[in-house]
Amino acid sequence: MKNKLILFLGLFLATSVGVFAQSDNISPARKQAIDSLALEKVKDLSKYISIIGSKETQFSEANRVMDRAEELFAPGAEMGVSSINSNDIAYYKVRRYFERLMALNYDRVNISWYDIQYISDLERQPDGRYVGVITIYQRFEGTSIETGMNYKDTTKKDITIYVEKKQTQIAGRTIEFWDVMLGDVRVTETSV
Amino acid sequence: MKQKLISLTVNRSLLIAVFAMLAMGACKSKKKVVEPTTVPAQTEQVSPTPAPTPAARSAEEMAVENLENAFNSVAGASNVTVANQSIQQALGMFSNQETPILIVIHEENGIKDYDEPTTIKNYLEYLKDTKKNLNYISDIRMDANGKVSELELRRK
Repeated sequence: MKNKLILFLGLFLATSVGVFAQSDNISPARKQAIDSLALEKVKDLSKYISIIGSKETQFSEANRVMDRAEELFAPGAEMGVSSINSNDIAYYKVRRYFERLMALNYDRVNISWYDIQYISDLERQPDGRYVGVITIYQRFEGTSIETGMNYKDTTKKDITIYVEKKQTQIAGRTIEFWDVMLGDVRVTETSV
Repeated sequence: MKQKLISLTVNRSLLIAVFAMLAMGACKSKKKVVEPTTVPAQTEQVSPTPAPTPAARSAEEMAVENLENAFNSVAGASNVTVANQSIQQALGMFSNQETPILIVIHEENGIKDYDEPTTIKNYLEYLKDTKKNLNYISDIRMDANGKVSELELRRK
């Protein structure tokens, strides 16, 4: 009788430990889903930047998109800005960067991101967060019809990615989700 | 004899406890749209009744079809004005603009991994901005007025 009770308790504990351990051990397929989620957020940012920069975007739409783009970033995150005419790299808080981008003195602005990929995989940190780095290439083209000025450059930028598991309440239920936050965007190369 | 009786009672209690644990793990509250639901086998039939018309299920299926079309319209809109019109039409199908949208990015051993939950208003604007519809509807909940009160999406 005593042995059976011990066996039962043992089974119960083993099942419980297994369930809790699942939150720490991430299978390759699950990890890949999280990697893809973070990569998708960066691709979303590229769309938002293109909309904000475009002179065809209405002011109200650009402001709405700025809000959405800002939500992708961790508080205090900064964006690097460079130019082929200078060796300096300026860093702005992301909101300020978006506002400057929207106000650029060109008649036509075209911004596109390509070759978006991880250069440092998401790795679990002691605090439970996952941190990685995604690199992108940004092609910028600004045209001023009146002056005939046409500025073009290509910038390589590294974006720090933070992924953290969080909880929220939806219709009385607790939903656990992966919160992806973008950190600083550092300029690493600028060319014509 | 008494010992045997006690042992039998303990065994039965253990068996009940194991079944109770299994039953707890199998609890489900939402109705799946994509996966077919299992209908319990009928053991006795009093009188021949006409085939039941699953009205609620049809309403859900119709809503899913309409919503998939609406999402594609927003994502594929040729300009902002057209996209905004599609968004307004789609919003009419929901309880309100704050209707929660859950996006499952992965499921393993019954555990779902979600993207950050959003609202239908934000999700429709996301489709408009990114011009991509990466998800399909995997689960839907409707309120008493036939409006969508919650939506679960999954990566295609």
